[in-house]
Amino acid sequence: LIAVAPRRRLIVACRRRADERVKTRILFFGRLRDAAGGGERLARLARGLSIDALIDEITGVDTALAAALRDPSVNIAVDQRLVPRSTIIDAAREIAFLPPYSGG
Amino acid sequence: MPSPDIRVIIAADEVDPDAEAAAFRRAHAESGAVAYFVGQVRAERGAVEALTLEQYDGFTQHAIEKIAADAASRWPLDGLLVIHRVGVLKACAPIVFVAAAAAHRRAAFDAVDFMVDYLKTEAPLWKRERSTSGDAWIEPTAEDHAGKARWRSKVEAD
Repeated sequence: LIAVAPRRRLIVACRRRADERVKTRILFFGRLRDAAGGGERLARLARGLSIDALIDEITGVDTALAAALRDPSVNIAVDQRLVPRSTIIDAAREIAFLPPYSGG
Repeated sequence: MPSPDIRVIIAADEVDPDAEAAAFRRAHAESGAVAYFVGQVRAERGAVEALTLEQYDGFTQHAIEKIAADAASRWPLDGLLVIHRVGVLKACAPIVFVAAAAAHRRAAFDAVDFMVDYLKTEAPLWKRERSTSGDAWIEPTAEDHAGKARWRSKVEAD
């Protein structure tokens, strides 16, 4: 019994990790801040989400916001690094939606 | 050649371009050429009341530092300073200050010109204009993209 118990605990721990949702800050800049009705949302995301699934999850019934986030001119940064649309998100702390820049 | 002194500052408060220019020149007293650029909020004959510039904390600074490093790899510079305002700006307020120091004028002129062209389209900043006709987000124009593209063709041609 003493030998088996730790292993069982390990399996439970692994299972918990797969189901675990990760607390992620979703950031919206520029015109997307207006479209989202605010610059920041907190989400509890499942691991291994595609960008498309992420957009569905955070926009819900707001199809106008979903369309704005899917616009190809919008860049996406995961934990402050730009990523392609094909990225699978695993345990990000921060995801930002960046419309075209207008500095200078 | 010693590595150039590159500085990028995201400023939430008012910037004094004259004081910055004087300090930059003093810091690079041994450079043969110093060039500056100041971008200011266009008044549009009184129609523009204010501009709000939004940044992404950390990400914006890092992106502008990369553009500055790119400029320093293209021209032999002694120093490069970029100060970009964020927050609320009134008409005529300075938005951006760029200074470059080099042994010869061409490198200083070109580095400043390049920085400003790249800041327009590559710096993660978002500009909202409040005018007599309401609020609007500003996005880069075809002219801004052409400004940046100019450097690509120049490098290929060289």
